Formats: sequence, structure tokens, C-alpha cells
Amino acid sequence: MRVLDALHHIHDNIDGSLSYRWICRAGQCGSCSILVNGKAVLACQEEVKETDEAITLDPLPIFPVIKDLVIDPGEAYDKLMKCEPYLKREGKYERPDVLKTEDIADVKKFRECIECWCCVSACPVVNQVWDDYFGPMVMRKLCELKVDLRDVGERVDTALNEGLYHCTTCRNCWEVCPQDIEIPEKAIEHMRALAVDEGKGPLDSHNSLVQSIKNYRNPWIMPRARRAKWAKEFDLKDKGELMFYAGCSPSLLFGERVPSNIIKILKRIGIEPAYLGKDEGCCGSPLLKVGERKAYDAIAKANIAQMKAAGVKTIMTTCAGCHKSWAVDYKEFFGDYGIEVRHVTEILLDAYKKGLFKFKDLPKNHIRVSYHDPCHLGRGSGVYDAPRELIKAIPGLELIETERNRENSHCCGSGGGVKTGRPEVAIKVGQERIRMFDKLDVEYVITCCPWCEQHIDDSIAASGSCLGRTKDLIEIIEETMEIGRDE
Amino acid sequence: MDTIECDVLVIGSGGAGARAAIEANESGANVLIVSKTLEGKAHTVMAEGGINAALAHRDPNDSIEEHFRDTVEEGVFLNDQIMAELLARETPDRVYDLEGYGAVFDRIGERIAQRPFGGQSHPRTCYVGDSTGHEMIMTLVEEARRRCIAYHSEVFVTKLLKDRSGSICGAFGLDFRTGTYKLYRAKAVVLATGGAGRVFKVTSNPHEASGDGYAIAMRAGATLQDMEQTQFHPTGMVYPASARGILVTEAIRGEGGVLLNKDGERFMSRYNPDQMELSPRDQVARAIYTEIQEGRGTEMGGVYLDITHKGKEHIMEKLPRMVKQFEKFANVDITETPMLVAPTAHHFMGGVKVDPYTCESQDISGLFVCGETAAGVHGANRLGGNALAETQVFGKRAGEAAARHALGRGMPECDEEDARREIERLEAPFESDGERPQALIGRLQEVMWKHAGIVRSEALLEEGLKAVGEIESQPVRVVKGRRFNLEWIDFIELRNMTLVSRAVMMSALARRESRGAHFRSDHPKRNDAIGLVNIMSRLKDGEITMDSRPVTITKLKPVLRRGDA
Ligand SMILES: Cc1cc2nc3c(=O)[nH]c(=O)nc-3n(C[C@H](O)[C@H](O)[C@H](O)COP(=O)(O)OP(=O)(O)OC[C@H]3O[C@@H](n4cnc5c(N)ncnc54)[C@H](O)[C@@H]3O)c2cc1C
Ligand code: SF4
Ligand code: SF4
Repeated sequence: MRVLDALHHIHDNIDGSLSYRWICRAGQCGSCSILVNGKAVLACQEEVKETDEAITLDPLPIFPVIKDLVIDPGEAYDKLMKCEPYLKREGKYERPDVLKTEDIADVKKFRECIECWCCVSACPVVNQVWDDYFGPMVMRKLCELKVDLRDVGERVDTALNEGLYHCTTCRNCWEVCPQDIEIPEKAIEHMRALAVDEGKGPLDSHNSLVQSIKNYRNPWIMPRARRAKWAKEFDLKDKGELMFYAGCSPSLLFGERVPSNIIKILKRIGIEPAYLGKDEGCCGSPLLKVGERKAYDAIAKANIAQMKAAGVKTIMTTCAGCHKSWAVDYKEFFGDYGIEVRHVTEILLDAYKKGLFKFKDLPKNHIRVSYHDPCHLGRGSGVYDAPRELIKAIPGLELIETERNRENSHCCGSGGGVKTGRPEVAIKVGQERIRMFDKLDVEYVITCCPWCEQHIDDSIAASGSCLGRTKDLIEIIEETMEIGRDE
Repeated sequence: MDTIECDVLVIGSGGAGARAAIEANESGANVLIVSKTLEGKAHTVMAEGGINAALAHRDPNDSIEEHFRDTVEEGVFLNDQIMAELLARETPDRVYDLEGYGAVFDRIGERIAQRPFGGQSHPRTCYVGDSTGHEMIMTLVEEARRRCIAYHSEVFVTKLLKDRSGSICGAFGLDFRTGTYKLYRAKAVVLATGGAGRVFKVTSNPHEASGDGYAIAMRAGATLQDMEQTQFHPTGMVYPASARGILVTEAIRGEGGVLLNKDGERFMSRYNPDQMELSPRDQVARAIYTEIQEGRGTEMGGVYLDITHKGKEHIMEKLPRMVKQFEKFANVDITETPMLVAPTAHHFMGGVKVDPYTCESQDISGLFVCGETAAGVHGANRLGGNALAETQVFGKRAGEAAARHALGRGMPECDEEDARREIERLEAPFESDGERPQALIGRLQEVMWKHAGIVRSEALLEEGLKAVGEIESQPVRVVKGRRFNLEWIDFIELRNMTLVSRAVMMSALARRESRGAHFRSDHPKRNDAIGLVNIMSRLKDGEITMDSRPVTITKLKPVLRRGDA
């Protein structure tokens, strides 16, 4: 049974005044989009399982409600119209268009949009600053026209004017798109790359970050050797089958707690990973996000070669952004390079399941906490369960989920170069995320990404929320793990 | 009540309406589109297979003449041959118009690709994967956006308005978002409201296909033609309820799928042992229908379509979309489990009788009708790919003629009394006691399915007419509330659907033979001695009167086709 069947049933048998919109009932017209349990879907496609508990239906957010589940999409059309959403040719059309299949492949995928506005309503940035950022659907259209060989419109300029650099690349739009249009990567990152090619991007505020990665292989203008400082006490090898990729921000920005804790934990359970030390370089993710594709490609290829040369079989990551680079982006752009990529929480969960360690009670024995899915770890790389299972295994921690979790999680606001490029937007998105945590009466939030951790704290401060300091899961594990008590 | 003025009012934003609006705008008229749906959501969006145009990209032997001939033969010589020839002659240009607006058709080499389609002598169907209608409608919407053509969405036109002289002067509508009324004053009106698949219990059509255009045109005095010609597709989905009737492509049978009744019998052997599952559409539809009627269907009211013997790999390669469709809607893996299918009402070949060149109604000056709402092109059966072609060829002609008509005259006077009377009619169900409209629609759909469906007879039709009469006479009540009141919309649609249903049944009674999509068990043969006429229906003082006119035959003399008994 589909949600639409349920709506018909209610309308026909229980409450004839119920209003909802639908036309084709086959997923082709995009009329019946609503929120089901907080996620934007087409009612005609979304299944209701017989055993389901009550499900919550809401109209799509951000739009004015006409009645019940029916929204007025007028503003979305207005914004689209401002972008000249039609082919602009040089001169008149002279038939026929000479185009080959490969010329139109990209254009075609973008043209599958059914104007359901699911993506727009799910976009965390649109929800805060729609007037500044016209949103994923419009960016898709502009990119479609840009890659159409026949079009001569100034699409990159329009995209820049309407907020191209506001997107956090959180992927929520793609997650909800019934036509599976890969807007963040294929439209937004691609348009940013074109903006850079045309000398129009990235933003001025991104420049120091870009130059720094090019010169120092980290975004923070720090000497190259500085990143390995935390590792001095450990004496790690620089070659080996399991390679710890610590990443720039964990190594340089956030007190070095996380990488050194990871090594402490692993040593206790007898795992000794290799580490490249000062030879480790940025994964390049910030370059990709802001559109510096050429520099990104060079760095990424060098990184892959470096790992191969070190005889690595498994790369272990901690930062969500690095994880997505190694696990998803590199493989997408350069093919499978034959090395497994695992997030540290996945490796720790395995060890825990094997009985290599246990957890002791926290000093205070009942703490309500919530977990924030980093976009690049969750939707970006599909790692949802390992962190949750570890949290649940720690006695005294009670995991309370927000209304938006897992695939439907809400971005913290910092990704995609937005924290650097548009800090005010990042904070607004972050504050919305804090509102969700505030409803839960939890003491603090746990996450697995230094960027999210930092930004959630910044947003807590900006919101005046009572939430405690955000913790990386590693920090908690380090505090609570115990070795071999039963043995 | 708001009053809005324009030169050309276009009712409906499917392929036909949108094309007409663009052409009227091109001709310099001030155009306004009104539609029951949001932009780009018309029925046309569901068309999958493609649009016919004799471009001869795949087969140099194809030609306008061949397309014309295929169209008329499939239509069993009931087509208006002037229109059928215009269709064949002009679609190539119209396909290039679409490309000019920005459409991205699939390619063969550097040119537009074409695929073979049932009933056609050459591969001439231009396509965009299996979402041709979507691509067309998005293209037309974009072109309309480029031209800044005004668009009123979610306005239900309930009545056409005429001035003293009997010419069109506008239309009256309910803006159901707000529950307020709108009076449109216009010098010319294009009516392109699509078909009426929804009068049948099972249909491939969307919810909006309630035949409003037929009904409001008829009430305004227009003649309808060929209303008995309703096409049933043999295979539609049976489950789940919301997906009932959604098309299951013919390609499954083409790939070797077999039809089985509930006893596992391959029943086509009893109907057409030579061609089996690949017999003509109407025969397969009738066979499945008969199995179900005679109790050999499954509990859910269908038969099995089984392709599992072809193996997973083959099925995944050839029918990926169907695999997805069944997985998504019915949680059925068609590589392992047979599908449940049943015939589904698909297309109305009949409609408003129009001038073949201008699409103007023969009865009402200033009213131009195109797309599925108009009659003539398809005769007794429609070729796959010809409906989309019709929307473009005759949409353009209607838009052009409407603009010409409009630009030559001043704004006609509308009688506000007409609007007041219409408001009274529409407000009545708030005050009245009676049944809920959706219950009556359900009953009507059952009646039509049983009495005017795949197999008809005088007795069935007479009974059915009585039943429709009863439904029509029931007082209706709807829940209070004006904003997006679905029951209220259902009420208006019910009134249109009963009228259209009566026209279908009375036309079916009048055609005392079997031709194309129309099958009479009491007259199971085609009979050219009496059958080469178009059945005409008109509304006079609330009653439908019947008439017939010889078919317009220009070049192609009726001959018996292979398989025609
Ligand atoms: C599943 C399916 C697949 C098909 N595949 C093909 C194919 O491959 N090739 C092909 O040639 N044909 C195909 N067809 C047929 C074809 O799609 C239709 O015949 C054609 O799209 C009709 O177009 P139209 O413009 O006449 O009307 P529609 O597209 O039906 O548009 C009607 C418009 O009128 C509006 N409207 C209706 N009533 C009112 C009212 N009272 N007030 C205001 N507005 C109103 C509607 O909102 C809509 O905008 C298919 C049909 C179906 C159902
Ligand atoms: S990736 Fe996230 S921020 Fe970017 S457009 Fe999509 S939903 Fe919005
Ligand atoms: S891009 Fe996808 S989600 Fe967004 S409007 Fe189009 S179809 Fe809907």
C-alpha cells in the first residue's frame, strides 16, 4: 500500500474534507510530494508497511500551506523564472540540431526533473536563506543549460548570483529526488568547477584556503611538518597494510585530541597502524568543493600513488570529509584503486564485537546524548550504523535520535566551503540543527567529524543553547574503554 | 468573482493546449492558459513511447503517404482523412519545432532516432527514452516560460460562455485553491482538456482525465463525434489500488511473455491460436476480459503475464523499466513471479467535431478544440505515437486560427447572468442532502466498465444507460470548506463524467457493428454497408440526440484488412 492509497482511504471513508494533491499516481508528474515522517517523498511512491506504527504526514516545508497537505509552490516558480530557465540559442534555430548521443547524455539526466520541489524543501540552506540561495532545483536547471552545447546564456554568472557557493554539498537534495538527479556532485560541484575555469570562482574568502592547500598541503597555512606533531609520542611506521589517514583538520586544528586518542585506543587493543607523518597531505576535498578541479585532480592522484607505494591494503579515516574523498570521490573520478577504506568507528566496532575491549560505566551513570550524522560520512559514504552501535554499547549513554537522522539527517551547515565562504549562512543552518537537538533534552551531541564538531559548538554558542560541548565519539571511547577484564 | 480578459483563452496545458498557446502568442495574441493542474503536470507527461513523424531517419522508404495509410488503416477507415493526412504531413515540422524550443530527442548518429511501434509499416516513432511525454511537456512549458505566457493553475473551467450571437465570449471557472470564481472574457477559446479515461473503473489515464472538455463543449452546444471509440490497452497493472490500470508495456509480450488464467492455462490458444499473445490489441484485451468475466481470472481480478522463463538476465536487459515499475509499486520481482494484469481504458478517439484545418467547432464560432478532446484523426483506433503527434499538429493549427479569429474582433459581451446561474449550480451540493460524489463516481466507473467496456451489446448498453440515469439523478452533498475541497471537485467531475458516459453509451448503441476499439457481441463483425459513418451526439434540452454523417474519405478507399472478419 502506498501513502497515496492511505490518503484515498481516509478521504473516501473517514474524512472527506482532507486535501492533498495528486494527478498521475505513477511517479511521473511530481504533484503529490509531501513529508512522510519528516522526509520529502512522492505519496504515490512511498510504501506504508502493514505493520507500520503511526506515520506522520506533513506538507512540504518552506511553502505556504493552502490546506492540509497542499502547498503553494508559487515562490519556487518565481525564483526559477528569474533564471531564464529555457534554451538561449545564438541566433535562430536552424533545423536540425546536429547532436550525438554523447553530446546530450548529461543534459538528459538533468531534464528528467519533474518539478516536485522535494529537493528544495529538503535543502537546509534554502530553508534558511531562500532569497540568497535559489536552491538545488534551479542549480540543476542552470547546469543543464550550461552543459547544453546549444545554449549561450550566462549560466555560470546567474548561478553565482543566485548562491552557487551557498550549498554545503550535504546531499539531502539528491537523497530525496525521486528522479535520482545527482545535484550536489553533478550540478553544483560541476558548476563551481566551470566558474573557476571562467575565472569567476571560487569566492575571495576561499583564496587563502586554496593557496594553502596548494603550497602547504593543508588548508590552514601551517608548515607541513606541523601536522605530525601529535604523533611524536607514538613512533609509528610509515609503511604497512593498515594506514591511518589522520587528515588536516584533526591533525592541525582541533587540539590533536582525536588522532592521538585513536592511536592510544588502537595500541591498547594491539592494532598498530602505519602513518605517513609529515608526508601525509590534504585529501583535496576543499578544492573539489570550491571548484578547483585541476588542483584537486593532481593532489588526489598523488595521494593514491603514495598509498600504493606504501603497500597499503586498508586506509583508516576519521574525518568525514576525508573519508568520503578516499572511499567515494577518488573511486568515482579515478576508478577503483584497489585499497579498502574504512572509518575508524567501523574498525573499532569490529574489535568490540570480537571482544577485544569493553566499556566501563561513565562517571555519571545516565546521560542522554544524541548523534549527528556528518553528511559526508552518512549520506556521502553510507556509514550510519557503526557509530550508533558503539554509542549504544557504552553503559550509561542513552542515544536519542533527532527528527532528522540517518539518510534524512540535517546538515550542520559547515560543509561545501560554506563555513569559510559564507559563515553567516553556515551559522543559520547550524542553529536550525541546534533547535532539533534542543527539543530532545540531551546533555550533548556526539559526532564523528571535526568540522561538524566545531560547527555545532559554534552554533550552540550563537543560539544560546544549553547543550554541552560536542564530543567526537573517539574521545568518549578513549575515556570509557577497558581491556580484558573478564579474561 | 474576478474577471480576467485576454485575446485567446487556452483551457488545458497538455501537449495540445501548450502548443496552441505558444502559436497564439507567436501570432501576436495576448494569451492566457488555465488548467486544473500545476504547470507541466498534464496527462501528456505520462506518455512514454514516442511521437510519430515520417522523418525516414531509420528507414528511407518511410514517407508521409505511408504514415497516412497506417493511420487510416489502424483507424479502420473511420478517420477524417483530411485530418489524418495533415497529421502525417505536418508532424515532422512539429517535431523540429520541439527541437527548436530545446527538446533533446534520442539520436541516431547526429539525427533524431526513431523506433518501430505496433501497427506501423516503418520505424517512425521519435522518442526520448521511455519518457517522451515528459520531455515534450517540459519543452513546451519552457517555451511558454520564455514567452512569459500567463498561466492560471488549479482553476477548474466548468462552463463555456457565449454571447448573444452564439459565438464564444469566454469561460467560467472555479479557482479551487481559494474556492473563488473566475470569469474569463476572451475573443477566442482553445479547448484542450484531454480525454476521459477516468469514466472507466480501470484506466491508464491520470485522475484529471474526467472528460470535462467533452461535457462543457456539449453543454455549450457543440457536436461530439465517435464517442463510442474508446481504446482499451490489454495490459494494465491490477495491484496496488492506486496503481491500478497503470500501463504494462506491450514489449513484455513481444519479448515472449505468456498470458495464463488462474488455472495456469495459456488461454490465448482458444481465441487466436495463430498469433497467441501477439494478436491485435483489441483481441487480446477481449480475451483477457472474457477470462475474468467467466471466472477464470485471479481473486484480484486479473490474469497472469509470465516472463519468468526468459531468465533474470534477459529480462533485466530488455525490460528494465518494467522490472522497476513492478518492484516499486507492487513489490513483485517479475523475473521470478508472474505479473497480474488486466485491460485498462487508454484513449478516447472521439471528441468534439471540428473543422479539419482550423479546429474550430462546427457549432460554436470562436471555439477551437484540439488534442484528445477533438475527434477525427484516429477514427476507430489510434496508432501508438499518433496522439502526441496530434497534440502538436492540431495544437499549432488551433492556436493560429484562434489568434486570427481573436485579432480580428473586439471583446465580445458576456452575460453575467450565465455566470450567476453557474455559481448556483456549483454551490448546490453545499446545501443539499445526498450522497458523496466519490461514491457515485465509483458506481459510475463500475457501470461503464461493465456495460460500455471491452465487450458491449444492446442489452448491456440499455441497462447501463438506465444505471447512469439513476446516478445522474442522485442529489449530491459535499463537505463544507472552499479551499482545495476534493469532494467539491469530484462533484463537478461527476456531473461531467455522467454526461460523457451517456454520450459514449448512446454512440455505442448507435453503431450496430464492431469496428476498431468498439466491439458489440450482438454485432461482432465490421459492416461497411452501415459502418462508414461517424456517429454524432448533441445535447438538446438536457437530452442527447444522435445523428450520423458519412466519413470524410479522400484518398484511401476502405478495404478489408487482414484479420478483419
Ligand atoms: C500511460 C499513457 C501512455 C501514453 N503513451 C503515448 C505515446 O507513447 N505516444 C502517444 O502518441 N500517445 C501516448 N498516450 C496518449 C497521449 O499521452 C494523450 O492522448 C495526449 O497526451 C493528450 O494530450 P492533450 O494535450 O490532448 O491533453 P492532456 O495532456 O490530457 O491535457 C489536458 C489538460 O487540460 C486540463 N484540464 C482538463 N480539464 C480541465 C478543466 N475542466 N479546466 C481546466 N483545465 C482542464 C488538464 O489539467 C491538462 O492540463 C499515452 C497515454 C497514456 C495514458
Ligand atoms: S547538497 Fe544540501 S545544501 Fe546543497 S543544494 Fe543539496 S540540499 Fe541544498
Ligand atoms: S531535481 Fe528532483 S527533487 Fe528536485 S524538483 Fe526535480 S525531480 Fe524533484
